Amino acid sequence: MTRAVGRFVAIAAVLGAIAAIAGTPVAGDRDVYQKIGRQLFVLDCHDIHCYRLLPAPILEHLPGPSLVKWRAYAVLTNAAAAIALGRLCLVLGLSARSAGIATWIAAFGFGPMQSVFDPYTSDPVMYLLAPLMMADLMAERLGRPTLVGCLGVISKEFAAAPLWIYALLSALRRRWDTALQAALSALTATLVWFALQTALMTLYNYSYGNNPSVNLLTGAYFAVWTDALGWPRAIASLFMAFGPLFVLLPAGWVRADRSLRLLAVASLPALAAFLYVQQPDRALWNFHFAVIPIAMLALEALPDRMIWPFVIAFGIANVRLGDSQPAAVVWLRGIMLVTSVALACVAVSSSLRQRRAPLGAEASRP
Amino acid sequence: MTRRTIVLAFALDAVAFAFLVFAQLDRQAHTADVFGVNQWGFRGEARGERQPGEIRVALVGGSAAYESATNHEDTMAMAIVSQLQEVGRPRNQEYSIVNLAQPRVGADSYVGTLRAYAFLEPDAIAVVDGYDTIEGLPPHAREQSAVFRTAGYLPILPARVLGRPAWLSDPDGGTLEMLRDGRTEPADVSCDGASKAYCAAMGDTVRFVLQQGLPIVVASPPFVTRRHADQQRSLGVFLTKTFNSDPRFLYLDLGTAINLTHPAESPDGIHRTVVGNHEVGQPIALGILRLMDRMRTAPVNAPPRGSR
Repeated sequence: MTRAVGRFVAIAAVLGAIAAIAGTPVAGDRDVYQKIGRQLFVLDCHDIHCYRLLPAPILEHLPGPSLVKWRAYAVLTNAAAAIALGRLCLVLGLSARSAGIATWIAAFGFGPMQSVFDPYTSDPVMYLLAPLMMADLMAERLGRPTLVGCLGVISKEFAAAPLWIYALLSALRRRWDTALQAALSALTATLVWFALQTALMTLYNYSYGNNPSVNLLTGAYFAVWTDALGWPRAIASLFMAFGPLFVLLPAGWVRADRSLRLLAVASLPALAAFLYVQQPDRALWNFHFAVIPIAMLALEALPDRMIWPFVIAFGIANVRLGDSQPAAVVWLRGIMLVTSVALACVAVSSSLRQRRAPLGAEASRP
Repeated sequence: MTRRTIVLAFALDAVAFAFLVFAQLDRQAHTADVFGVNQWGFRGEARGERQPGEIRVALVGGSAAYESATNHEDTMAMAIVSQLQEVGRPRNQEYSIVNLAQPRVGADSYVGTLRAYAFLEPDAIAVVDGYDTIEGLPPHAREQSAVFRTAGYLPILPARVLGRPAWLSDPDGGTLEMLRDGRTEPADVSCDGASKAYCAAMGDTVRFVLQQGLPIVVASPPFVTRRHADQQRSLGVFLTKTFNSDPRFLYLDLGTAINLTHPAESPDGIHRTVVGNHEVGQPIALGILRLMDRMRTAPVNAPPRGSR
């Protein structure tokens, strides 16, 4: 068994155990995803989720209880996504040790934990596709990510984002031919998405209903979300998306090479766009493929005896077992958040004390 | 990839993008015209899904049911559904109607219409035929659109951009030549004479609906001439004789339900006012309710419905 397979099995086992003890999600989009699963096309659907045609029809046609099937999908896809993120870290020039740790952090972050609890979403597919596509793109392979992006938009619009990010990254590097080709790929994937929207609207009378995402001139989903939560809670929710990784980012940035920095910069327009039109905390995790590698550059300064407590604390801080969690879990999560942030501070301090050559994508190139 | 190939690919993407924007604008344009048709090519709201328990009636017919010069809210179709909703309200029974009629189409198009819109899964059918044609499709019937035939979507912007007549814009032809008063040829306008094919097409429509396990009300429009009355009465006799044993069938003779010479009921002796529509719509609604009651007491197994 290779190391990656072993990690996949271990991550799937832990996520599976969490899924097994998690309560049934009450709120959420279960009904609409089950309907898509049964009918594929839901006449007159006025819900934005109806445009996300995969993976609902596949899952709902498998035997077994709906929630079990969706949770199994979330567990396996998130485990695969974590492995893909680890592979991306290697492509970006991080050490094998850092890539291994990144794998575990990607597996137990806010996004995967949220989707394991409430699995009726296309998000895990995006968590998987983004690092897969980005790994190919950073190795300057365009064909496969273009195909994956064009197919991925059937699941969720974010699948086109890595292509746009790479196009901008190439432009920032002044590699104009690559930038043009990447922009063409990105435009083609976006067109596939637009064609799907148009076909569903015209032939099946779909609309976005009252979804605030389309009110682009009045603050879109971001305005509604911040109004509903209030700014203090909204900021706290945004912080929780990456938690201690935010603390690690500045120190990681200092150690990152130009390519990794440019990747982060190139991600900013897409990040701003998705924060604006989608639920911001969930949208944020989509960019884990840029955040985690940079954070790793700071975290790797810690010795193993401190890194693994960090990973465990980070994972527990993100655990979600119910719509409203038991008080003990809330307390435990709080303690683990403080612990992981404290360890992140130690890592930042150690990282800044260490004098090392910059790490990142350029380092991996021959 | 060469620069030239990339530029060509960008151009193709731009064309595709422009096409999709045009399709989106076309869809928007459908909602703006109260006299026009929706994206699926019929008058009223495009709505496929139903509330739980909602009973949907499909109205099929020609000019007399389409009423191109009448605001949608004032049409006979809306008069029928208003009456149904009034009856259903105390029982919390929801009703809706889809007006699948189009101007100047013959009765031989009705089966095709019902097939094309099977995805709406109507619970009952009402047929109110016209007076301006007995067979065939006019030049701007929706079936003449290749896009509609292929995808079930009726575009309207291309005609506007090209300055051509819109789909379903064929003018109401008034009374068919052979049905006008004072004509002597053909001598016999009944189902045994000049209207033989027309009556057969109406019979085919009723048969098709009954084979689907659905109730059907066929109502004659108010008679516009004596010869029109002769034609419709012979149709009534033909349909009643053929289908009267089936409890899901009902023929309504509304030839004299309103006075077409009275300005309150008709502005021109052919078309109906809002009052006229109310008076014609009421018995059709009651006929539908009667059939639905019969269906409840003696339910008939319906075959599986079509889907989009």
